[in-house]
Amino acid sequence: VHGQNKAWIRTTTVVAAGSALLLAGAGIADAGERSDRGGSSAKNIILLIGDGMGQTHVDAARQVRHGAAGSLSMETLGVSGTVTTWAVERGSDRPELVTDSASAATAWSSGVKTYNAAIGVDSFGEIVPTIMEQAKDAGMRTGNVSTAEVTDATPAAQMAHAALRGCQGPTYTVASCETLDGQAYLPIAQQIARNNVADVILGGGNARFTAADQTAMKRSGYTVLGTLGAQVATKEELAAVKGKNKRVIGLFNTGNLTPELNKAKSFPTPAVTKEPSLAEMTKKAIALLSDSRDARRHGFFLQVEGAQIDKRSHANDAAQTIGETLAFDDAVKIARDFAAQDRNTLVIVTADHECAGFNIIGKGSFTNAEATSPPSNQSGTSSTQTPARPTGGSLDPARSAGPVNGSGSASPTNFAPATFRTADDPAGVKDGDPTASLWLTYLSGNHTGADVPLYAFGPGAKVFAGKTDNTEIYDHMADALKALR
Amino acid sequence: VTQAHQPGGGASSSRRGGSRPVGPALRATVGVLLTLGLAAGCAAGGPTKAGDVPATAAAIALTAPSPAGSVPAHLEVTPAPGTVAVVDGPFTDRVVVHDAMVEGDVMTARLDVVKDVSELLALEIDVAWYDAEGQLVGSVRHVVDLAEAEEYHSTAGVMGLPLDVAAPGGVSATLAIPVLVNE
Repeated sequence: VHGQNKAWIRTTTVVAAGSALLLAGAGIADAGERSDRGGSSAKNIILLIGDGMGQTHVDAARQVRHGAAGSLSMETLGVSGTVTTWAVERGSDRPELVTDSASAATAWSSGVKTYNAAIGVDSFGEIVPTIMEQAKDAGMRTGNVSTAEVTDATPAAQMAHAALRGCQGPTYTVASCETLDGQAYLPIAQQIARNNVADVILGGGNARFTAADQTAMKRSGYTVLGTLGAQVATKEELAAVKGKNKRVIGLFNTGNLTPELNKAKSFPTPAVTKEPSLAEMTKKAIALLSDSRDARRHGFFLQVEGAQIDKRSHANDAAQTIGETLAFDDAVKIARDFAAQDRNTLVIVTADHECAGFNIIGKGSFTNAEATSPPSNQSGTSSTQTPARPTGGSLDPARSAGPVNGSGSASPTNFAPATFRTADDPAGVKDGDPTASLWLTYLSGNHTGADVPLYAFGPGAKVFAGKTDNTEIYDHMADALKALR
Repeated sequence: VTQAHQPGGGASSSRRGGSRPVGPALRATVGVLLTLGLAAGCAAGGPTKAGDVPATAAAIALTAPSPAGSVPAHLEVTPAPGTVAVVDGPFTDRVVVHDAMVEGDVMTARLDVVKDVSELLALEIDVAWYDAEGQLVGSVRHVVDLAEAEEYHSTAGVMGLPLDVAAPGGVSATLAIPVLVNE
């Protein structure tokens, strides 16, 4: 039956996307063979999403923590590839080259291309089932962890359906929600509180929920940490949760969780230090999900999102972007270590889209945004370029007042790079120094259409080598899960 | 920010995007396939514990929401003439309202969004105004135009977003924020 279910999703994907399946069967590295233990079927899946995490986010985090020759935990998973992320225009199958988090999350959750802002509905507004719902229906344990509000796009697309991602609750309005099939519908938070799709829900967004939601979840057997809509949970409360077959919701901030660098500074209040890290939430979620008869019989499906990589990239905040990427990698390590021991778990690490055109430029060089004019485009004595520029731009001191996290930090109009020491730099080199090796720039404050990296480990991992469309992540996960076969 | 004033209720709406025509053939195809898919998913029905509600997200999604809370017709504590009271709600810890006043039948204020400050996705503001006895005179739901709010966006959040609402016959007002969503 589930085979039929997967088949229609594939058909829809092909109709909508017009793309062929891109199963990469050749050129698998030895490390990939080792990482694909147990054949192609997996009992459990842990899907980790670095929101907004492009290749440069990975590169920069690696340089800072491990140096040029090092590797992040995600880079040790063995199988690697890239993911195409384009969305479609609403009500059509015309490509929209730059996706948002909602469309991308719907792609891997339900296997369909859809419009930006759509949550669990296709391009035409039809509700599409998600793999987390299907896993739940098949008897699996399910979990959803995020450093964002759990009603935000990435977690929501696994356990809710909305015409617009802004319909997060607690209030329904036509402007923020529109309608589904011509009808008003429950906001995302209120769906989550009533649909029992995820057994373990950890993240932010307590203000989206209400006392009625608390009553509904308790009636369904959830252990509610804190009080929904009134009192945020704490990591001490999370640590104290014990027992088998537990259903738990813990929302540790009224909104998004606090970035790790701010938490280290107790900003804005010491209360933020009571928020668990993504790695702590991931470890606890795995423990809670796996300690269950249902998990032993049917496995579990867990999605984990490092949301602040994207949010801090929107702000062109390189220090926190790197910090959040490293915090995400700490969560990947938790998942990898579990899977290595379990040998029955497929771990997939990828992103929904790249954010902000993050890039590494040469030490001491500069970008077009800092220049008086674009670079020369003429070669020798002739050029076919239009317009022709015989001379190149030079550094504009008004637009480049030194590293934005160093000497140029006082200028709000400064386009200069942020510089960071790497693990290879001599002692004494500090972030913000021109002598630091890592020079990071941003193209914009918005998403880009670049492909994103993917890393995988465990049974069923090999299929992710090479190029994968984001809708095919759904296909491969559905193919891999024993409970859905 | 352009405002539409609808004393006594209603909404002024101006947002990006909107419904586009739906291809009937594709819609039909997807609809049939969706029906098959949902049926398949239900038929699979894994083990269900007592009291364990099956995942029926689609049905839950289409459950009608409860009506939104209405503006109180009479305030227990009437704001002083000329002043604006911010009604406590789920998002009041994410905003700072300043320079708020009622003067010459107009409520004006500036709004800062200071928490979860990345891209603004939705912001709606309820303004209600009252006479000297605290009786409700009128109210309006204002949907902030995201494009027009863009110029007030900074790395610190949306700063100084101007609110300018006609409050004919009002001497005081309340301001509530039922919808606030950031990326």
